[in-house]
Amino acid sequence: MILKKALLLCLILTLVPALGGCQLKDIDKRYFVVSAGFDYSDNPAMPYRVSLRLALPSSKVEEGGAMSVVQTVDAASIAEAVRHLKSTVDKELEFGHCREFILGRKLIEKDGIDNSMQWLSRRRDIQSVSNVMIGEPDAYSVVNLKPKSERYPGNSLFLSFGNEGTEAANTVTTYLFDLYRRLYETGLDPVLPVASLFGDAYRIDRAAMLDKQKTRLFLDPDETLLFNMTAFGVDNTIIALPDKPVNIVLAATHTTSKINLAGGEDPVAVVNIRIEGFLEQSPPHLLEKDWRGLEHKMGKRFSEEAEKLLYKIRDAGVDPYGFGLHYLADHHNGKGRWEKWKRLYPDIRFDVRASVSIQGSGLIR
Amino acid sequence: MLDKIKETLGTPADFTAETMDNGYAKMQICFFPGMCDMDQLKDGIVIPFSYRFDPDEFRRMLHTSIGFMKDVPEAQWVDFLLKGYILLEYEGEVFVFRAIRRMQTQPDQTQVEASLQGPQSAFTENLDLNLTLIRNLYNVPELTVENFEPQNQSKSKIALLYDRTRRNATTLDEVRKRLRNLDKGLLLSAGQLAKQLSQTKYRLFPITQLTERPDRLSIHLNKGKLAVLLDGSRFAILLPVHFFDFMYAMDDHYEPSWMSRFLIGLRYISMILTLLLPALYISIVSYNPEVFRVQLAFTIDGSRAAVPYPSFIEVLLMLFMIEALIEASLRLAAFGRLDGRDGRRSDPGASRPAGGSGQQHHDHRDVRRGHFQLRHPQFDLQLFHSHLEVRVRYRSRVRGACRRRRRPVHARRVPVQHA
Repeated sequence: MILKKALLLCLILTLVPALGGCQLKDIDKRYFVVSAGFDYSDNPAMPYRVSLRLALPSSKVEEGGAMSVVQTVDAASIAEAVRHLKSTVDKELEFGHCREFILGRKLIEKDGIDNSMQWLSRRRDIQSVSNVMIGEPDAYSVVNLKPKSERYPGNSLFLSFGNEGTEAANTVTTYLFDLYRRLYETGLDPVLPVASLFGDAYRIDRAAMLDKQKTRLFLDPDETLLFNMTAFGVDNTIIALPDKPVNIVLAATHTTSKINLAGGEDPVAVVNIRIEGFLEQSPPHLLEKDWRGLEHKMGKRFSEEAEKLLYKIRDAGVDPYGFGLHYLADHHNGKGRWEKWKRLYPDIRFDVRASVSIQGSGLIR
Repeated sequence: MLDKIKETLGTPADFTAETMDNGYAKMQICFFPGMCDMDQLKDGIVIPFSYRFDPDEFRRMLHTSIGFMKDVPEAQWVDFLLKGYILLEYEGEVFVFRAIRRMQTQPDQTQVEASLQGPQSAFTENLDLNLTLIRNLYNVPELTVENFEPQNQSKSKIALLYDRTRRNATTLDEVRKRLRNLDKGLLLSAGQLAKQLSQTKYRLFPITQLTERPDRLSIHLNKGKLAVLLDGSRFAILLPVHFFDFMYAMDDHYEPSWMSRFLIGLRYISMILTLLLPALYISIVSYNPEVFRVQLAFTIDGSRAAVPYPSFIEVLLMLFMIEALIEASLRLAAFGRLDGRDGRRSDPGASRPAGGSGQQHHDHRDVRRGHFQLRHPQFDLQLFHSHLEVRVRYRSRVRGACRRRRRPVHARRVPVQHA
């Protein structure tokens, strides 16, 4: 009995130290990285310039009270740069709360996206739900901006994406996991939002289309809006119909889009899009005159513009909609099928069928 | 007779032994005045013997009244005296008259297991009254009461209650056996008896539950469990119980179904929080801060910067302080109860005469201040407070016997008014 107890005690004593686990590092011994930017440095020996925005935490959270420092270092690779950066700060770097990764425009144009993606997707402490964007003119200026409205560091940029804060219709949101998928999926190409500075704030109203390596096309804000609606069915957008004396503007509250491929050897991509909304601005008594006609006119105009955009994207040789993936999924995936699609894609025709439904004028009579 | 008793008892000052003489007959009488009901003595013995004396009637009364016992063995005379009986010798025969002074005639108010809508009466320290309370609530002929008179120094009566048709025979035999083999020392409270009944000294999970509520006891009897009542203790022992019995409040029985389901769920969630929160805090703060929302991470980061010790030492200190506070608020009754929510004393009765207690008072406050220096401003203060509250509540169930002055936490809930 005593022997048994002694054995048990020994067992406990050997097991208990293992409970300590690994790498106890208190939260106050960590430096939270809130956004990271990767730039091209023009130095062939050390081409990567990594800028990290580090949060200086305080127990008070208040408007404009966010404090942070930006550290920048050049190195031959991103991994080396981050290791090197550690020796310039007094606490352990923690990427767990870093939700914004900014790739400099020049970096993507010169070096491509692959090297950065390798590092981003391999680090275990980097969240897959991070937002990735292109920084213009470079990533450092975006990382370095400290908007006055921030309650805590990095918040402002984070809230710009998705539906967390603002629900801007011109902002494309690309998460890291989605970017990874788009980079390695056949027949689907990445798209990234472009962030630039706008006074003391960020301006994220454009999108960049990439092939598997580099940027091929930059959309302007209107095109980005169209792309958002047709590709992602983003809600809370607007459609404008030029008119005198003021434009007729439809505030779309609900958008659904669906893509079909029709025609075998002469494929036609059919984009069905259904838009519901209220008229936010129009001449008085417009709806009573010709409700259906107005809906039709708006749908027609939307289709024309969307088709123009689709042809532009096609001619740039990228496929952010995933028509290719659609084609591969629809057809028997035999040998040479992908090569065949690559031949077909430059000549594909588009047919956007927009059905606009006006719910009302927003007025009560 | 009196000589024999004096041999055993000596001559204690609170003992009365007299020979009464009404001119016709003599009667030897002895009793402890403090333990006897003087009204009963007067009505039952003194009046019939003195100015209403009729020899035949008096003799007939002694032999037929159920208040009198005769032919009591000599060896038990002293035992009866010590329980508050009156011993008298008349015409060479010895009678024992039951005139025990009853301290309580009213049921107590519930103090530990308060209930909003259930009965408010609780057990008292009188066994007979307790049995009345149970008989009133559990009014079936199957309710069986067995008396045990343990041969220990207290000799308090023990009653074993069960429902004859529902009890488990094996359990009953085992409990009977244990009740017969109690140890010979002092037996002062139900908690002590429960400890002896469970027999294992270092048991982690109790098999008995103490309760002051007759309704809880009745429900358990109805489930086929056994109950043990000890004279002089206002808690009954329920056995055998399992874990879920401790998580059950009587109000769950009385409240509307959804309400009680919600409260039971709340209780279990709180218990899990109590068990896990300190460990979760360490694991999140020291290993995986990305689990927090970013606001929380920065806030904790900012406030932790001033704490000199690693998170696990901080938590250990905090847990120790909470335990110390609970213990202090329990033992140092003069300083009132520590309110679970904000750590302020809520008992105005604490303003006792100064003196020796002033120093202790000061110490108590210091302990509290020490605790709150270690807190974080927003996050863990609230969580640890709920932790504290849950602990208090759970422990008050488990070790209810210790907590006579404490109003349990759920009693503070605002009563729901039903039309």
